Amino acid sequence: MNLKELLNHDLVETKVDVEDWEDAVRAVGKLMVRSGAVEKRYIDGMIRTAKELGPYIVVAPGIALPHSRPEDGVKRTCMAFITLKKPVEFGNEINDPVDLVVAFGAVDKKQHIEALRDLATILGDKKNVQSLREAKNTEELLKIMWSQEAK
Amino acid sequence: MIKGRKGVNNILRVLAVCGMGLGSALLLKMNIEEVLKDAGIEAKVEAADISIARGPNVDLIITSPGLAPRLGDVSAKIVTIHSFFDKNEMREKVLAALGIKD
Repeated sequence: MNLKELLNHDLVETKVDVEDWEDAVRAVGKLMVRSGAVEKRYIDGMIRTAKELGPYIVVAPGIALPHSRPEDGVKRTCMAFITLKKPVEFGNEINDPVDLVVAFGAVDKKQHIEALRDLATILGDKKNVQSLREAKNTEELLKIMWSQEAK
Repeated sequence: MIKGRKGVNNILRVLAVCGMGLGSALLLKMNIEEVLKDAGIEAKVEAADISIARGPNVDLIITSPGLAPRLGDVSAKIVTIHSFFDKNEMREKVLAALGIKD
């Protein structure tokens, strides 16, 4: 499943106002719960995993990738993306603060690979990252996220 | 320089390690595979979580700075990557670890 198939209007939000990193994870997790792709407890799973393993989920400057194990309540492969109104600290000295949060739920080690690959291609381009930060609404955001051609 | 530690058929055995092996590790794996391919280095890259990283039969371990201390005593060479979306950083650090001129 590629990025275009996973991300739609209901799974993205721009300029979300949050107080701290847990708030940010809850905000993006809420979108996945609402879509029916994960159970509510998956949000707790993402927060718990981030606490257990440290802020390694901040995988690049300003970008966090919260996720947890399939058995923490993933019903189907999914992804959600929010940009934050103001950046928050996740505790990662090198890559903080974060203002782009991409959460995902995997059911195995394979189904979400294409989407991750698309994500890597899009977020690997600094121009895209800047445009995403500046996106004023979900249309602008999706335009960039969907810009990878379907393979 | 890694000498005489390569696996069967001189294929470099690489492990991309992250917390759960299915998110950031996969990202790392994808980009590292491309970096090695572009550099003409034959390698087998696997994504793993931190519990597998301690096994033998690995030449190079790629991980985040936060997780590197948790690897403990491993025979493999360890490379830490700050940005999982930055192939330039990966290329520089991996080639340096392998003793190859960029």
